[in-house]
Formats: sequence, C-alpha cells, structure tokens
Amino acid sequence: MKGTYLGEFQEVVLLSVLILGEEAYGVRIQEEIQHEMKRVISRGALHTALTRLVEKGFLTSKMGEATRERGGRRKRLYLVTNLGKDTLREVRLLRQQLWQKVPGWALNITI
Amino acid sequence: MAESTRLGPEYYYMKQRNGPPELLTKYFAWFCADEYYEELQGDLEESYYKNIKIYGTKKACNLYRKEVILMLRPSVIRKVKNHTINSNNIDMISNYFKIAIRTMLTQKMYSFINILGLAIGMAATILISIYIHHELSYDRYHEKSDRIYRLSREWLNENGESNLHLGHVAPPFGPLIANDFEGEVEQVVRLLTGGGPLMQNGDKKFEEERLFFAEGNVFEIFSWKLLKGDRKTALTEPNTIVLSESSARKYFEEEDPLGKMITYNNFGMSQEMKITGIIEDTPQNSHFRYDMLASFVTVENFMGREVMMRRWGSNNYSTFLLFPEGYNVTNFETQLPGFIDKHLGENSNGQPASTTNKLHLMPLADIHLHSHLDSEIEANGDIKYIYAYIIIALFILVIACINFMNLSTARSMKRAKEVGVRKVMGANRSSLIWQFVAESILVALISSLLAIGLVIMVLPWFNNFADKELVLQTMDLSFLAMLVLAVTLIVGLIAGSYPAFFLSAFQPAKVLKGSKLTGAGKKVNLRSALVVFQFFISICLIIGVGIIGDQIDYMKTKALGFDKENMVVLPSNDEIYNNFQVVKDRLAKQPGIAEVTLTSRVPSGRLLDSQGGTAEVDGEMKQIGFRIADVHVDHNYLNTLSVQFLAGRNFDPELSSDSSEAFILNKAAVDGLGWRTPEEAIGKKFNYGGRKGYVIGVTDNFHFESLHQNIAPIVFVVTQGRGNNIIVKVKEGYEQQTLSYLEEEWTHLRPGYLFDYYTIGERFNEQYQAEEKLGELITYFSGLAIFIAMLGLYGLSSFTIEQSTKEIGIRKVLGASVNSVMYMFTKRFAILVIIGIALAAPVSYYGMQEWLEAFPYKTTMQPLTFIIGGLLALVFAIMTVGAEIMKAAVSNPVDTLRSE
Repeated sequence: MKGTYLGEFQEVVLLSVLILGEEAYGVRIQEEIQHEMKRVISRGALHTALTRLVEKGFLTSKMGEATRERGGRRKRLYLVTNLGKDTLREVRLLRQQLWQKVPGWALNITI
Repeated sequence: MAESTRLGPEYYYMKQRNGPPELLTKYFAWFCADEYYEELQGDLEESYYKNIKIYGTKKACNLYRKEVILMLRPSVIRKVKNHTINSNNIDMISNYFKIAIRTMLTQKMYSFINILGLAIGMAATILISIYIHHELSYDRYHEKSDRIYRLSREWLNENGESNLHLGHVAPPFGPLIANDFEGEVEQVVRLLTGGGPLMQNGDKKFEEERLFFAEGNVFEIFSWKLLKGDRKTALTEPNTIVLSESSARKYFEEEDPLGKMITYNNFGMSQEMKITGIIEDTPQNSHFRYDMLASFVTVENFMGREVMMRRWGSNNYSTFLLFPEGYNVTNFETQLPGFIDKHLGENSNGQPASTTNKLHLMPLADIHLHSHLDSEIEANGDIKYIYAYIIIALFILVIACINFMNLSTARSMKRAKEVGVRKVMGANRSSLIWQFVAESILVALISSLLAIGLVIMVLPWFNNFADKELVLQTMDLSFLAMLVLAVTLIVGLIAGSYPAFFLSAFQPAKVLKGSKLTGAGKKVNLRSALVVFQFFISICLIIGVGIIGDQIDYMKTKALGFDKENMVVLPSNDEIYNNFQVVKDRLAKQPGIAEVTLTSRVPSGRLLDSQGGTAEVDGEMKQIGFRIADVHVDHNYLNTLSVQFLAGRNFDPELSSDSSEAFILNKAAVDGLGWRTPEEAIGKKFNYGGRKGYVIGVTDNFHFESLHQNIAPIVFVVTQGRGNNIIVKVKEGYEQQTLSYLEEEWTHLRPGYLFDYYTIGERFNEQYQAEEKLGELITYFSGLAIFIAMLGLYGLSSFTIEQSTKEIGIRKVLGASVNSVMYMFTKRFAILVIIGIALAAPVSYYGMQEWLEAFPYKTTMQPLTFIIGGLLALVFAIMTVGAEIMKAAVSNPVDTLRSE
C-alpha cells in the first residue's frame, strides 16, 4: 500500500500530537519536538511532515481560534486518527519484537 | 488576489508595534500557498514574538528570516496553476515542449545524430576554451602583475641586426637600474638558477633543477603565498632557503622543516642552509616554476659583491622590475639607451655601446605566450597555437551547427502540417519562430549536458596530451557555467534561427492542401552548399594534418651533416675535466666505445656563446660584423661527430700551438667573413675573444641546432676550461652494455649525483614536440570534424533516400538496374564532397604555406598529400551513404509503389 509507511520524523510528529492533545498546533508541536528530541527543526520541515501525515490519513485537522500574538490569525489544530493510532502501535510492536531478539551481550560496548 | 488583502487587517497594526521584517513577510505571502498561509504566518509570528522575549529583536529577526527561507519547499510554495497569470501562455509553452520532445522521440535517429553531433562540437569547444582560459591566465595571479616587467638583453651586429636576445641579463643591471631610476622603479629583483645542485637532508638526496637564488624583496613583487615564515625577512640573510610545500614533504615528510638545515652541494662545495619559510607550490599557470628559493646574498657573498657587479658577460640573472602604479613604462624605455651608454661606455670601434646593446621590457603576463627569446627560464607557449586552437574549435562547432540546420530543414516536410495548423489556429509568425528557436535551444541544452560528460571523460587524456593538470573541480565555476551557457545559447540560436525562419514561413493554405512546397529546389541547394562547406573544413583539416606530418618527418629524417646516432652525452665536472685524459683512456678501452670527446656545446642544443674579433680579409684585418658562435671542444670533437672538412685540417694533439691559436670555422662563417672559397680562408689571421691565431680548417655546414634555426656561423676552438659535456660515441650493438658501464663509471666519477644522460638523436627529435603536439591535436580534431560531417551526411542522405523511394521504384520498374540506381545516388553526394575537395585544396595550400614559412628548412608540399586527404574524405562519404543507398536500390518496387 502506498503511503502507509511511517518515517522516523513522522513518528515523532505523531507522538507529539498525541502528547499535546487539544493544544497540538504548529508552533507547539515544533517546540515540543525541539524540547524533547533536542534537535532544531524548521516550521517549514514540520509543515511538510504534517501535510504528508494528513494525506496518509494519520492526522486530521481543523481550524482553531485566533489570538493577538498571531496577528489575528487562526491556528490549525491536529488530531491523530484511529488509523494513525493503530500504525503507531504497530510500529512500537515491531520495535519491541526486534529488541527482544537482540542478545544481551550484543549491547556491551566493545573497545 | 491583491497582496494587501492577504496580509490581513492586523498587518498594519503589527507594523506599528515592531513586527517581523516587513519585506520577508511580503515575500512569504507571495510564495506561500493560499490554503496554508493563514496558519503558517500565524505560527511564524507567534514564534517571532516569543523569540523577542527570549532572545531579543535582532536574534528573533534572524530566526524569522531563517524560518521563512526554510519555508521554500514544495509542500508550502503555491502551485503555479493556481496563480492568476495567463494560463493560456503556460499551456502553449508546455505544448511547445511536449511537441519538441515528441518530435525528438518519434525521430530517434535524427535526434540522436543532432544531439551527438552538437555534443561533440560543444565538448571540443568547451575543452579548448578551458585550455585557452588557462593559457591566458599565466602569471596574472600576482596582485601587481600589471606592474611587473621582465628585463631582457639583446645584442645587435654593426648593421643593427639582432644577433642574440636573452630573457635574462647580467647581474649589474638590476642594482644599477634601482639606483639610477630611483622613484621611477619601485622594486628590482634578481633571480639566478641554482645550476641543479644536489640537496641533502640526512640520507635524502635529490638534484634540484628548479632551485633559484632570489633577492630578499622577491615576495614584495610576486604574490606567492608564504605558508610559514616571514615574507619580509625570509630571504634576506645569507645561507637561508625557502622550500615549496611539496619539496618540504620530500625532504622532511611530516616534520616541520622551519628552522632546520638542508645541505646545498654544487660546484664541489657544500653549504648548510637554514630553512626560513615554506611557500606554496608554484601555481601551474606560471611561466617558470620553482621548488626552492635560496637567498641571493648567499651567491653574492660567495662570488663577492664587487666581482659580481663587474660580470657584464654572465647573462644568467632573471631580472624583474616593479613600476609604481600609473607609471608610463615607455618613459622608462626611452631612457634605457642612455643608461647603457653610461655604464657600458663605448665599443672597441668607438661607437656608443647602445648601438649594439639593447635592453627590453616585457609585461610579466605576456611572457608565457609572447616571449620566444633565444633563452628563457622555461619553454613558453605560443599565441599562434592559441589562435590555431580557436580556429579549430570554431570549425568543429560550425560543422555541428550545420548538421543541425540541415537536418532540421530537411525534415521540415514532416513539420509543415503542424505549422499550417498552428497558423490556422491563429499563431503568428513570431511565436512560431520562438517555438522553433526554443526547440533548438532545448536540443542544445541536452547536448550541453552530454558535452559536459564528454569533457569530464576526456579531460585526463587531454591533460596528459597538453601536459597540464586542469581539473574541473578547481576551476572557476562561474567561468565554467558562463562558458557552457554561452555555448549552449549561441549554438541554439545560430543553429535554430535558420530552421525557425524557414519553417515559420510556410503558407498554411499550401501545406494543408498537401501540395509540394514550392521553392524546395532552392533550399536543397543551400543544404548542399552547407554540406560542401562541412567537407571543405574537414578536408582542410585532413590536409593540414598530412602536411604537418610531412614537415615533422622531413625535420626528423633530414641529413644533418654529421653523425648523430649513438652519441651519448654525459655531464662533466671539474674532477673529470682535470683528469680528462685518464678518464678518456679508461673509457676508450671499453669494446663498446668508439670515441670520447669533450665540449662546451652539444649539437641539438642552442649556440648561445659568442664573442667579437677580427679577421684578415683581402690583406687587412677587419672587424667581424656579425655573430659567430663559439664552441669549445677537444681535439677529437669534429672527428667524433664525423663532420666533413672542406679545406684544411682538424686540431692536432701533437701540435701544442693548436690548443692556443688554431681556429676552425664552418662554411657559414667563411661566407659571412667574405672569403670566396674555403681554401682561401686557410692560414688567414683570425682573432676571437682575446685569442689570436690562424684559421686551420673549414668544415662543411651542418645542423648544429634544430631545424627551426638557420645554420649559424660557428668557430671551433680547443677548450681551455669550458667542457661541461662529454660525448661518447657508442659502437652499434653495444648500447646496453656500454650504458650500464657508463652508469657505473659516472656514479663513481660524480659521487652523490644520479646518472643522467641523453643521446643527441633523441634530443633532436624532442625539439619537434610542439609540431608533433599540434599535428596530433589536429589529427584528433579533424577526426571529430569528419565524424560529425559524416553523421550529418548520413542523416541527410537517409532522409533524401527515404523521400525518393517512389522515384527509385519507378526507375526500377522502367528498367533501371541496381547498379545504375546506386551510381546515380552516390554521384549526387559524391559531387558535394568533390566540390569540397576542390575548394579545400587551394585554401589549405595557402594556409599551410603560411605555416611552413616559419621554418627555414621546409618540406615541399606533395600533391599526394592533397590527393590522399581528398580521397579519404570521399571514401568516408561514400561509405556513409553507401549502405542506405544500397538498401534503397535493392528494395522491391512493389513495396515502395503500392499505396494501400
């Protein structure tokens, strides 16, 4: 199936949207990722990821209220769909299966 | 949508309260897709105001700018289609592209021929442009290059003719100029070649051919980068030296050589030198290159400054002058004769010295391409060859363009209906012209990509061939981009404009009715003329190759008048010179060695030494009014070289007087002095360079120098201290054995030096390298030219034949044989080539005569060369069209004439 694959960055975005709940809009998501993942991302890059996730059906969005510091503009609020939640679970399950297969000694740091 | 409405009502409020940079906001509003603009601009502003609180306005502005720029991605930028510009135009242009690509794809073969031909032509042009760009860049990297001039010295004879012109001058000139012209000349620097010393650091020993002694201010004039050390003081102390980066690595590997010592061994002395700097390797585009620069005071101290200032005869000091900004150099040049008279005084005949001595200036950047003096630091390039390369590049490009024009117009029948329909639908002529020009630019663009690939592929080979190290990556990218773009546009416009005008002129009523185009006959003639022109150029190049080859052969095989075979030349030194008789006797015992001799000058080299004198002609002593070059030899020299005597005898070792007062002249010298026969010269009084004596022999003229030079008058004298070269004549069949013996002997005689020898025969052939390079280059390019011309001819002929299948069918039905059909069609194309030959023969004859003029000894142009060149082109042409014609001629008329 085309487009169901979830990239690493997209996964991070989806999780952030879940974390933020009602408050999931552009700037907040950007700050959340920068804060949690310790990496600088641009609003433009985030926009690309969000649009792709909406196209894939993992996210829906609706327009929220306008505020003064936004120059009177509305924000777009994102919500994870059921498909998005299923996919996240699936990804996590696959990860865990892989983790369980890794033998303990393999993680010892060799010099 | 107007931008003011998109910016929102709050925009103007925001402007007042120190909002984000206005221009960026407008820019973002311009490129952002409508559906996302509100949320994204909102987000950007929200972050912006937050950032002001955290970081302050300046940083916030920077972050805002960064965010806006990073918004430039497909997911954000508005789609072009949604834009409100005239969508009809866009559709039309995309239709042009669609049609262009479809035409290319339906006629793959023609497109291939077009693109390949153009790509080769463009690649050749780009390659040659890169090369020329490099050649023209020589020495221009010095910041002050337009103010730096080289001093050169010319000697004239009493009639004012040039005897000798050297690119380096005597040591007193530099300091005297600095002194006499204070204020007019800013700096003067002298450089002296180190004479190939053996440099040593521990067990690392190498002979350094490119070591120069340079005065302390050398870095104030030349802009070479000093990587370590101090520009001002690096070369001011005696026994200091600056190494190039790569020679530093050669001697010291990873160590830091600064402050370390390196040993200089030469002329039997050895001297520790302190390393005071590391300099970048000489840039490739320098007319001479160094590996090491040692301080000039080292030599001055060794020789004695006073002594050096009297050495008017040792013209080995490359002297460069730096003039102040805006100074008129001719003003300086006019004062030079006076300067010469002041310091050189009068000649022996009472004339001022400036009548026979001249100093010249040449701008630094001109040296590489314009200086061809009798001695230069390194061999230079030649502007004439640059012109030749430009002409060849243009030729090839023109041939490729003609291909394109011919094939496009020949195929015009196929496009005629399209043009008709477009016109009926309301297209005007100018838009059609633009369509076709754009189409050809598209083809040129595709070709240019292919051409760049080709250039990358052949560049290593070209470097090898041209002895350069050109690398695309290190080149000026803007120059490359401009070059490729210019070539693409020029080719696209030139090649595209003719088909564009031709095609756009069709009358829709005629082409849509399906009637044959009138005036087609005329166009065919123009096409034929273009084919003739292509072959004309190709044949010119082929004949050029042939004649250059003939001339090289001629120079290599011409009898030189002496025996050049199996002559091994070895370097001498004081030790060998002082014990020469012993060395000679030991060598002579070897079964493989026939003769051993000692000399100052070896045939194949230049005759650079000469002095003045007098000669007894018609009973009175007369000044020698022209230059007679001297060669210092031992008694066995002329014998070893098997030079023919016309009168008199060789030097006799039994006669001690021969060593001090005997002269042997060549015939050119005898003729110049005015003796009527060689016999007349024998026994006449002759004084030369302080030596008084008699002429004892006259040799026949022989080619001492390469065939680029006329045979110069020569005087041979028995050497007194000037024998830097030893010539060993090796017996045939003993070459290998004798060489290994000599290697052993010389490593013993010159301890520490590498065994280094050359043979006279080889050295002679090396002199013709420039011609061989040119010949080789033209061979390749004429190959390309004929290949492209053949591609074009193939395309054109297969198209013509395709158009004539019905004609062939009817002819065959009416009784024509395969042979006669083939003959008829072959003739059509062969005639074009033959006209090409007829035009090319006289043009190349005159062109090559010009080229041969430069050689004093030249081959006569053989008619055979022309015949072969023409036949070659004809055979290639017939081969090209033959297969297609054959296919058409044997086809069954039923297939071609039946129309269901």
